[in-house]
Amino acid sequence: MVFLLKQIFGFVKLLNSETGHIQIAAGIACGLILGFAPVFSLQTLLVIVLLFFFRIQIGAATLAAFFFKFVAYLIDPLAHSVGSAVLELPSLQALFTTMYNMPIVPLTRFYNSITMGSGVISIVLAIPVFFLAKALVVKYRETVYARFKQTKFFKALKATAVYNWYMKYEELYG
Amino acid sequence: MAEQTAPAAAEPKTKKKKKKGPIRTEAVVPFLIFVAIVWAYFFFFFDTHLRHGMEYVGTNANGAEVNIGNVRTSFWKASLEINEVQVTDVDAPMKNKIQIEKMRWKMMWDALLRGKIAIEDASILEIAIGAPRKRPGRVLPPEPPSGKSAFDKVREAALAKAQDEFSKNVLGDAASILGGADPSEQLKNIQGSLKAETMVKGLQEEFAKKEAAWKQRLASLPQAKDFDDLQKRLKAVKKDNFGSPQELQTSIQQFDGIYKEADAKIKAVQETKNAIGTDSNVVQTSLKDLEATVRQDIKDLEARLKIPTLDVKSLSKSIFGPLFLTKVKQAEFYMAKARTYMPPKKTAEEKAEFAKPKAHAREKGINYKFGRPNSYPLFWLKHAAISSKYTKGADWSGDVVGKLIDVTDDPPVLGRPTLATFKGDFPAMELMGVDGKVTIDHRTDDAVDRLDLKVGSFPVMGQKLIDSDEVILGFDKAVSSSKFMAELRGKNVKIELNSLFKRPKADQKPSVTPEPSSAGTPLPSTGFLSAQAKQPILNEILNGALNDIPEVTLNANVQGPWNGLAFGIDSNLGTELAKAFDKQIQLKIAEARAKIQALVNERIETERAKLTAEFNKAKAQVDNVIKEKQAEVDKFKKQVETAKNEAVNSQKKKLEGEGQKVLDDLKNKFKF
Repeated sequence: MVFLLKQIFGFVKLLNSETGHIQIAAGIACGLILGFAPVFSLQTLLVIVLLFFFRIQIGAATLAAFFFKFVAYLIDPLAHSVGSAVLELPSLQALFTTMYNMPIVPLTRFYNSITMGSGVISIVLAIPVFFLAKALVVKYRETVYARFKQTKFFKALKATAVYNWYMKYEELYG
Repeated sequence: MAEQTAPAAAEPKTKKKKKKGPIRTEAVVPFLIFVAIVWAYFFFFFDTHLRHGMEYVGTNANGAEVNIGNVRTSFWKASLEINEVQVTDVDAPMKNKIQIEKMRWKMMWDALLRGKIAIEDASILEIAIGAPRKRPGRVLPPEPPSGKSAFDKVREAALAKAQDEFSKNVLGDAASILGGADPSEQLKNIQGSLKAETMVKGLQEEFAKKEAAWKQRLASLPQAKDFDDLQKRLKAVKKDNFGSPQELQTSIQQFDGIYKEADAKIKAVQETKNAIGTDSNVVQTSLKDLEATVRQDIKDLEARLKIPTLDVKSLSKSIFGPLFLTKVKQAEFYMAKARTYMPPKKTAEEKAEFAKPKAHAREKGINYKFGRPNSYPLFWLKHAAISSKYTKGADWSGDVVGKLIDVTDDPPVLGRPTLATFKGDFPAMELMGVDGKVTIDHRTDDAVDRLDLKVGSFPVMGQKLIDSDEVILGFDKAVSSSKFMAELRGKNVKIELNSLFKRPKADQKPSVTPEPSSAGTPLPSTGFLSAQAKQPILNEILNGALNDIPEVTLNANVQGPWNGLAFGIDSNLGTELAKAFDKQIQLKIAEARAKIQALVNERIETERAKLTAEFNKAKAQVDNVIKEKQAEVDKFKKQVETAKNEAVNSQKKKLEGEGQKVLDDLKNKFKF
């Protein structure tokens, strides 16, 4: 929990910095896949491993996964239709039979219509969501954060000793 | 001042932060270090720690020290090799209960990746039983007994009952009878009343109450006065010379009224007859029960006086029962283990009872099927080979080959029964021609566990069949062959043992040391079968009978559910002994039984006969009264019917006469 909170605070900090917009966008795209996938599945584990090994913003991914879980719940009927259509494609039957009888692969639960549908939708949406998130982060920094920095409240906050101590701590321990 | 301090203040700002790459090195590096440590542990220490763990668990399970030479595991081959396993014999710590030189396991990665354990090959080589140890094994103190299930209790109670039955010392009791113990003296010492005696008293009281009730009922039946009244009323009714049809109608109504009253009286008689009949049946049944109780009392007295039943069946049971029961107990032990570790298919009720709670699904969707992904059970030993070579010094070492196929924790999923077959000879024990097959079929609701075992020949030395203070009887030297079958189908057990004990050839010297008797002395080595009895006459009878027996057959079986086992034991030894006892002992037994019968007669029979006579007398009286009453009522009803018919006929004739007269007048008038 502490790790998760630290990552979420890290996300807020990174969002308000001048760098890391790609990490945030990648985190949101991964969060989309996480949110659409079943909690206990192989694909969830794979995404978590990716988050762990690559410098993808985990806080952004966690928040995005939480948000997209609700979206996934709402689009279950659509996911079921898409999944059924994919699983019933005659050209893919041989592939699915092989996958179904392979070790490990069935742990993805790809044979379930909703899992397959959600998976397909999340992979298709991941790329546009990545670019959209990247653009939105840049836009946010240029407009919202830049304007906030000019407010008297922010300037007053920057002048306090607490803020300076915090900045020093950040510089030393990151 | 300001110029001097400016560069120092600007230094941290100019310090450039190192740019971080796309890989999270601060997480990846510790992870890789952790993986390296885990690998190093498994590479250098895991096998040793596993060996210690196995020794610890094995020692606790066995109750005595278990040693393992070395253990080798391979992750990539999914294999395990265990060498030099020694399991100390709890009863003889200088020996190994079992010793295995090499055990090999190779598992299937295909199953492991599906979360299942499938052992492709398992070899257990060079097994030796009873091999000597270099140093004595450590023996653990015995564990306190654990709680038992209801089924265990039923099973144990059944076996304890059989044990009790087989522990009857028939020959010892025969010795007492031959010793001249007087049953009359012993009977005098038996205190307390017999069960039948109490029952007779109860019946007498009950009969007295019933008799009183019967009398009361008879008194309520219609009496002569009632019939006289009805007769008077019947006579008073007008039967002829009716002035009008209305008069006839009135008479008919009066007849019907009297008939109904007579009918009501007959119903009362009938009800009384039925009620008394029911009571009488109850009393008759009680008298029959009394006879059964008398018979049981006689049996109990015979048991208390230890009067033996010297027929073939009882003798065979008494001689071979304990031996057979040992085999039954062994079979029961292994059957219970098989049911515990390889549970049969669950019934619908059992499945419902142990169903896991289901999590609330977001949306289930549809699961498509493209084959059978879960075709492995959780544990599956596909094939195991067992071999053993005869080695000197180990009593139970022999040339044995065997195989074990399809051992699993979930037989219904695997769809194959577990089979174990073994064949071999144990020259050191002169145990030859061992051929066994174990079938454990738990695929269906009706689980079957079966063992078929044949032994071509094995020596029997100093095997005591009866070992009591009065008599010791058993095999001195014999060569036996045996066939054993044990089957547990559902909850029904069936065990058969067919053995043949032969006189050994003159030059054959069994290597087995004879067991000492309860008194600490071995049986006298006089030949094939031998017996020793305190009573000289019994000694003479037994040895006379045993000398002429060339071979002994034993055919024993037990079947039924655990709570109702039916034992059947037959042996020619029983037949021979029954013949030998026939003349000498049967007379004395008959005499003792006659005395018991006389005692029972004296205390119960008189009362029982008196009660029966009283009952018969009372019943006859009641039957007569009811019969008379019924006859009387029937007669009166007939009278009423006759009077009614007469009245109707009289009126009918009168009307016919009048009609004829009118017709004749008309004829005259018209001059026909």
